[in-house]
Amino acid sequence: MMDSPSYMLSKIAEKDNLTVYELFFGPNHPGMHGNFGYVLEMIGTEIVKVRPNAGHLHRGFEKLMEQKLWVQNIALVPRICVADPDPNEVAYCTAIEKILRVDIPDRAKFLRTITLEMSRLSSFLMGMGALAAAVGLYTAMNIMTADRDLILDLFEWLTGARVYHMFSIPGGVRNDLADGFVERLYKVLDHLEKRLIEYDKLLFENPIIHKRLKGLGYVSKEDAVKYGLTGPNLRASGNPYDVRVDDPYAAYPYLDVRVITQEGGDALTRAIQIRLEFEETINLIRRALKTMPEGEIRLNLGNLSALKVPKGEAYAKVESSKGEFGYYVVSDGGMKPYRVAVRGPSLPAGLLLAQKHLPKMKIDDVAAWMASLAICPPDIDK
Amino acid sequence: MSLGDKSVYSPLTNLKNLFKKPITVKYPKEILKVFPKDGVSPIYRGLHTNDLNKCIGCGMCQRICPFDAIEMKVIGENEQGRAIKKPVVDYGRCSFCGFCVDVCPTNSLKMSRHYIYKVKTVKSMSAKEEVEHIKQKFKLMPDESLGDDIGYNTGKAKKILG
Amino acid sequence: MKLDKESIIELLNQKGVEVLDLYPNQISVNIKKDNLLNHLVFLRSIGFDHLSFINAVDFIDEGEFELVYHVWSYTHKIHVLNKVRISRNNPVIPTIVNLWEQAQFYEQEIHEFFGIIFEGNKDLSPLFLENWVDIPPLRKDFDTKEFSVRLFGAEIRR
Repeated sequence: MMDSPSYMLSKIAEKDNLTVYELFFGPNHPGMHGNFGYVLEMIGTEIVKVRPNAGHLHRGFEKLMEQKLWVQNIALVPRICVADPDPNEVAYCTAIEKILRVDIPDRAKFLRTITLEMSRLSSFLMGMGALAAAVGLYTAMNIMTADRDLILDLFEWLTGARVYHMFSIPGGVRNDLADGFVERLYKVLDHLEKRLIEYDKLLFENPIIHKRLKGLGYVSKEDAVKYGLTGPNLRASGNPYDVRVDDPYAAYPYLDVRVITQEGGDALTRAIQIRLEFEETINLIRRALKTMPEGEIRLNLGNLSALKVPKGEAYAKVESSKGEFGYYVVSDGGMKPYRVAVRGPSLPAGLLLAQKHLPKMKIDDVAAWMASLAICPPDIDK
Repeated sequence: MSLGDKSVYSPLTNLKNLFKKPITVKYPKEILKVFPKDGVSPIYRGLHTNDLNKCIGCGMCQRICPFDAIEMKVIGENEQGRAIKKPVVDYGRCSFCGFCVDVCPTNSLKMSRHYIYKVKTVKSMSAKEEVEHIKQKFKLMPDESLGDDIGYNTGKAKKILG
Repeated sequence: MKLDKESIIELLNQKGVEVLDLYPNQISVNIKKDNLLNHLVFLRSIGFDHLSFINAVDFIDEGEFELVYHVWSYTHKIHVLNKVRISRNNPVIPTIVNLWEQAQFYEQEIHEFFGIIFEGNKDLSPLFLENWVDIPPLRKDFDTKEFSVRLFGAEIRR
């Protein structure tokens, strides 16, 4: 009743001079990516007040995971973030391995790292495309989506599926690299590196994006830490923190991860941050491929379908393309998790920063603001 | 970064794209050659295939299935009078994770590289009947019919589960 | 100044809290409900500036909820799990919104899914669920199967 269109209209008519009206920005709005919404109170095109309207995508993952076997949950966790599914698998498996107190083989660590970084590339391409589309540069979006397909092809070859890979399992990974995969990966990386010039021309050196994004959604260096921002958003405000360096997991202790920081903290800096990290990710995959050892890809943990994890708890975090993805896993010693809690990286930006930034912003900047912060609603809802 | 110093002729550079080959292909007449085999990945997780002679009907696949998509169906009795069961996959629920393939003790259950499956509906059906019809048609008993093109399978040497 | 794990454990021990060394870069701390704010203020003062997450665990057999405040230090590179146990019958705990603003949404979420009341939090309105009248859904005594049969008439196999 409260949310019906007629109620909305009556509310608008009530304030008949149309000074303040409510606008539902999402879930069905072209500028919104994902099933999420803000209820904006507006005067003209200026936002006065914002109320997040989450829950459209709440699928009860945390409850579902308590009802499934440890290994069955591998098929469930990647669905928490569609664009960047691998951090979920790796974080969940790492948490289990922490409670089991086992160390997985080195090659498995490297394979996980390579999938994580490939996933980061594909997610960045999607994120940059979303940003381009938000300011109306659809050509850039189309090119980036086409290039993302090359990475999805590689995922298909490596794991057998394009989007939900279900590649990591407790104790290691499911497949080894196929013959010819590494050569093709190098080829795709070279291609993407060449494409960066085109992305620059289309997007990052485009006057439109500079005019639209400069000064939008400024986050200061202190605020970024205080509000709990992570990932590229934090680094674009000048904080040199990266989970891959600070709390290394998978094969990152063996790799030289270069942390890129920028001063600035506005939407334009964040956009360029993604572009710089995209370039660095390409180099990181090359370094990982060069140093990858031979050997086992899986630790024998007995029959995984009857896996029992000893009593205990662990928090494992992974640097996804959007920030810190964390899994807090509690086991009571049984066949199923007692509790799995998921920390999504988008919550501080999507909910808290929205209340700080959106008031006084113009309606046409909301989509670009969201894309620049890489807000991914599925991990707010879970 | 310098802005706005582009040449007057820069719009003309778009002309070169006029003679380039398009990035898209005319599927299904043409396909992109990405993998060593034509079509999808060599280890693609597609529709199931099951060697019914090798399958012992143990029900491991049913137990591991995260989405409750596999049901063991009784198809007859053996000499001792015990029921012979074979897995039936509900593709409305299946997430193509491949854990059933990993867990299969005889390696009879595999995944093929086929992924297209169509159901014909009758126009005269009511909406409710149609839903029921599609529900039933999406439950398939995997057999050897798709066995010509095996995708994801775990050989004995690299058993993952079990 | 970067402190290592041992000296942080010693610092916390001096304050009289129980510390458990879990994993490299991860320690767990058991604190009392009354001590929560003081403890978090102390942690923040020694450089634990990133509140990454708050979550709750329902220990139904012990009749308690456990709230876990995940705090990470960018200077010391240590993750601290601050665990507070509160009674299931009277689930009330002071809010920490004044310390970290993003706690607002974690607290709203926990209130919605566990029914824990955060004293001092002004806005505990539902964030995700709409028109929810049942018991909070992430509690262990909430039966999802019974719920889906009742609401949607679902058939349960096996």
